[in-house]
Amino acid sequence: MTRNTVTIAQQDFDVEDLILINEQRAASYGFLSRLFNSEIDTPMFEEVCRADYPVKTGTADVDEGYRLMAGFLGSRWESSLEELAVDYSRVFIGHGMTAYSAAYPFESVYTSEKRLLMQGARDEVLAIYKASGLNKKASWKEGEDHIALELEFQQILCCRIVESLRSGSIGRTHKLLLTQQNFLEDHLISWIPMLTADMKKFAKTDFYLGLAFLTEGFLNLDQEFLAMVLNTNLGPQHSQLLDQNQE
Amino acid sequence: MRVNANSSDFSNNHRSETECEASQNSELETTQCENGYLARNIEQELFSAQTDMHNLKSADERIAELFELMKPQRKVLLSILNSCYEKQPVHEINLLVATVQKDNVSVYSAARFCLLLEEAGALARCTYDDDSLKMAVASKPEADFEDCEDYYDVDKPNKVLWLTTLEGRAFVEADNFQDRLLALFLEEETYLPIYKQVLTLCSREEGASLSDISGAIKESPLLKEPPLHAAYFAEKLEKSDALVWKKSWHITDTGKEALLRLGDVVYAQTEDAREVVS
Repeated sequence: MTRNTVTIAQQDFDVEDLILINEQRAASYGFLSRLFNSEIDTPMFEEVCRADYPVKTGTADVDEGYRLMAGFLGSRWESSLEELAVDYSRVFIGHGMTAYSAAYPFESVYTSEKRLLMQGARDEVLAIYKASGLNKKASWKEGEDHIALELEFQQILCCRIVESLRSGSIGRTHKLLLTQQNFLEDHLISWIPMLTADMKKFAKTDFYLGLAFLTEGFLNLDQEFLAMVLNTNLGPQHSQLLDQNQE
Repeated sequence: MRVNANSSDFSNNHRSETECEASQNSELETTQCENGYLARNIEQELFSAQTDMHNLKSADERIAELFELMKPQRKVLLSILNSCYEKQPVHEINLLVATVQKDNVSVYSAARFCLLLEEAGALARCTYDDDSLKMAVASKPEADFEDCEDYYDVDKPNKVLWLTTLEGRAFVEADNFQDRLLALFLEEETYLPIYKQVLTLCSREEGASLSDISGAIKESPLLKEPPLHAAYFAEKLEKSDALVWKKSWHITDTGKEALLRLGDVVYAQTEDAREVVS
């Protein structure tokens, strides 16, 4: 049986494989986003306890992240949820006395000179969200450069990629992948390693320590994936040419 | 990861920029300190140094620090460590703490006490089979694939038990109420008559309320300068395990021994004290 293929950046890919990979990427981004968004509640806790944690993925940080998180969940007890809530506050909120009391999950904090909120990074990501037809909901009271939102943005783009692939819109798929790559490099990889370094300093539970490793490992993996799919050794003019041909 | 994504914080409607108030704290920091960046760099290094120092402390030091910081909870913490010489399930610890705190409600739950002790290195989690928690690696063969993929098994969590560590045991065994009470009496030799009065009052079957104690000692010339009150002495004796609160202050075995030792001490002379003694 002939499988459908698609050409992106002068490379052929199996459509179904690409759809599956992007569905998994969406799930991963969504999972990470939720864990950074707020404390784990009972439904989420049950969900993470049901999730699968592979032993060997081929990426050291991801493996270490899974090991630590699974280790915590595999020895959970009556007060694990309370432990996680306390650790979430400790890691991401801190005691608020200094600008170094926690791993503040905002891009502005790590990319502004004085570690302030609502700086240039927030304005930039807000513009990117709007360019993609997105905006934060009224219920979201934090800045738009919160890591949960930035990860969720990538998740949404993954879902759009899946839709584009299913509808056969390869040009759109290519544009979305490029958007993801730029966003990953300009607004995730640029600061999240510093965040995860701080998380490792503040986390007392293996769960949030594992989350730091998992986030680092996944983003590096995703960067490699996007570079591979987009064949980024080629210049941008090649990508634009492809758009004109594929649309 | 096969986990369903949750509800989105994004809206797909293209709308005008939402209000985003600038952080008041950000504005305040900018205007307050021109050298803010330099100051925060130093702050960061100092904070890192403090965190590192805490992490470098030995379990013995951390345990001692915990007990120093949580003096009012000393009895509960020691009870937990004493009971966990043998592995104890969580529900037993919950019962123990509920019993010890029956007349002394605290914001700390049994779980919180155990976590604090664990962090200090006095308590450790284990299972029935092992003295430390181990994680199982379960192979989940997939019918559609040739190779098995190994996954960590988190479906059936290990039963968590608490066990006192060697450092915890060392602390318990080194803790001596008698020595602490002796140190208290040596340090506050001037107030020995007051302590004797308080212990005597509390040796009654019904114990003594704070107002009973206050009524007995308030006229003592020893308490004029500096002015001290009944609560001061009751708490000092409680922290040395000489008194215990059970709806009123009652003397403990340690307190009874101390009272014998104070046999030669003369009461602070008040009419009320003489009535109580008789």
